[in-house]
Parts: sequence; structure tokens; C-alpha cells
Amino acid sequence: MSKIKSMSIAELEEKTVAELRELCKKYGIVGMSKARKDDIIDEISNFYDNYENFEDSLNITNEEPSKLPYINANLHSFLDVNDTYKTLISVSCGAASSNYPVVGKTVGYVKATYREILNIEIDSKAVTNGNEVSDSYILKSGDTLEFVRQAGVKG
Amino acid sequence: MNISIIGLGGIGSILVNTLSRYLDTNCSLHPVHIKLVDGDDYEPKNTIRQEFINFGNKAYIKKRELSNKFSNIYYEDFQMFLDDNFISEIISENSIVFVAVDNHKTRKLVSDYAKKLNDIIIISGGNELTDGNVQIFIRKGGENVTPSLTDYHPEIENFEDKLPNEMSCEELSNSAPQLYFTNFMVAGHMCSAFYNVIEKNNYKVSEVYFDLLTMNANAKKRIPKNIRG
Repeated sequence: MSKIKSMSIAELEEKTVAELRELCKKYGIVGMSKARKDDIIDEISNFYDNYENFEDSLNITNEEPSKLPYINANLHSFLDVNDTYKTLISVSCGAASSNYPVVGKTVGYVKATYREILNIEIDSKAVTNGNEVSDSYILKSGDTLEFVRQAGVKG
Repeated sequence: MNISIIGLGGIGSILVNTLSRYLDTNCSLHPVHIKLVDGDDYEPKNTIRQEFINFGNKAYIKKRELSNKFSNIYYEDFQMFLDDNFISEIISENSIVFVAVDNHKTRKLVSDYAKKLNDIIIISGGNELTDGNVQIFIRKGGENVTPSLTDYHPEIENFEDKLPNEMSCEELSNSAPQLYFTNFMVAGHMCSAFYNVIEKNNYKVSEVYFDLLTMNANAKKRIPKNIRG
């Protein structure tokens, strides 16, 4: 009972870059605004492959298209995606870490979204690639993001 | 090699045993001089998670115990809590300082003092009940190679606690519960930091976090904020 109609590579190649980007938006694939057509097609094709294995465990209806970005985020976290996957960024706080599809999102958005999962303190400093950044910093492909956990007091 | 261990509680009393065993037989690092700093006494209530053979002042008892065990190391005991008055006796150029205390005020005191020196290695550990962290602050040639203890930690920069010698008996006895395993893991990660820095010249990692409940550990690489301190 697939709710997403997969397209073949040939069908995708017939589409314009703008149409492909629209599809990415629909599927919740982020970080494609400056990507080349071939890369976008790869991402969508990858999404179809992963989705087919995952969709049966999800209860999606045609009336709930807004769920798709959320599902895609879960899908990427669920799968053991390799480091070269462009849409994922390593986000950590203390000993906890995971990869999330947050390219193009602000640090503040990530903090609010993953605060409970990663146990991020509200006044935690954000560090990307070793440097402190503000909440308005927009994450790029290849960034790593750390929310600095407070140091332990006791000994 | 000049080493100072500030704090001989749950972390420090384990750390000094392990470190001594390694240093005693590692001739390339000799001669070794270890300064043991703690104004507190080892008491029956500490037996659940601290490593001593007798009751009494922790620095003194540990010096006696280890001097008998490790003949290639010279131990010196300082039976007092670190403060501004004698910090220069404890932390000097080219020394390695392990900070295993239970308050951020001492961590800031050590970090700020270290910024005045040209070459120094500070390895500071701390924990809560089931998680903890180790910070590695290295200065070489008057520059910060890794961030200071306060660079990314406003809770240390703007500490809200006191030095042990400023606390009342009631405050001292009202300490939060701790787990021996967590202390043990902090001590282990401090030894790991020492080995990486001293034996492998690995200056990349500035902090390590671990969590006993998830069994995860995570090493962090951060850039010093003020290169010249």
C-alpha cells in the first residue's frame, strides 16, 4: 500500500531542476537548493529505495502529506546511513549524538527540535566544526554541531 | 616529570593509584615527582567509593601508602585545599596538573592561573551521578592549544559554588550522592587523556563525555577562544 508513487530514473531525468526540487520539498529531503540535477535525482532515488523498506511500518494516509518530512527524518535516523549522505549532520550533546537531516536549518531550530532527545540544556553553547556559533547560524552540508553539555561538578 | 593531583576523593584516589603504577615502571618519564593536594580526611563514610588504606588526611595517607609501593616516584603531600595563597607551589611551568575536585570555583582558579604560564597541561575531570566529563587544557609557548576550562563552560567561568575551605561543616556533609563506577570512569578517561597527550602527542581532543547508562563516550575537538589567553 505505497502512498508515494515512485518514479524511475528515466522519469526523474525528464523533469526540470525546479520540479525535482519541488519533489524534494514534498518528500522532506533537505539541502538540495544548490545541488546539481544528478545529485538531486540520486537523493530522490535513494529516498524511494529506503521508503519502500520502511513504509509498511508507517500508517500514512493521503490526507496526511504533512507527515512526510517527519517520516523522512525518522527514516534517516532509523537507517545506518553513511557519512557521505549529504542531508545529514552529526548533532551531539555530551555523550549523546546522532545524525539528523538539518542542512539549511538554524542552530536554534535544531536545539528546539532535538532538545529532549539529546538532553540539551536551554543555555547550552552551540559549536559547529570547533567554533562557537549563535542560534541563527544556518547549518551547511558537512558541518558537525555540538551543544556543549555542562561539566560535571563532583569528584 | 612534575605532576600535581588536586583532590583525592572518589576520582583522585583511584586516579593516583593507576597513574603511579604506570609511571613507576616507565623509565622514559623519570624522575617523577607527584604533589598530592587535599585538605580533607578519609573517614568511614568515604569507604564506599574511595581508595585508601587508613583513615586520616587524604594527601598524607596516600603519600605513605604509595611511597612504600612505588619506589621510583617521589610523593609530596599538601594537607590543604587549593587556594590563591599557595597555588604557585602546586602549579608550575612544564607540569601536568590533574584536577579531581568537587567544585567549579577550584577549576576556574586552576584554569585562570594556568593561563599565566607558558607550558602547562591541565586534565580536569568531574561527574554527576551516572555521567561525567574530562577536559584537557594545554598551553604551549604561551598559547592555548586547546580551550581553557572556562572557554565553553560558563558554569565554570561564573561558578556558583565555594572552595571547600569556605564551606561550613553542614555544607560539606550535604554533598550529592555519587557512584563509584562513575568516579572510576572519570579516572579512566583522565588516564586516557594523559596517555594520548604525553605518549602520543595527540593534542586534538579538548573534552570527553561519557554516560554510564547509555555506555556512550564522545570526544570533542574545539578551538580555543583566546589564543593568547
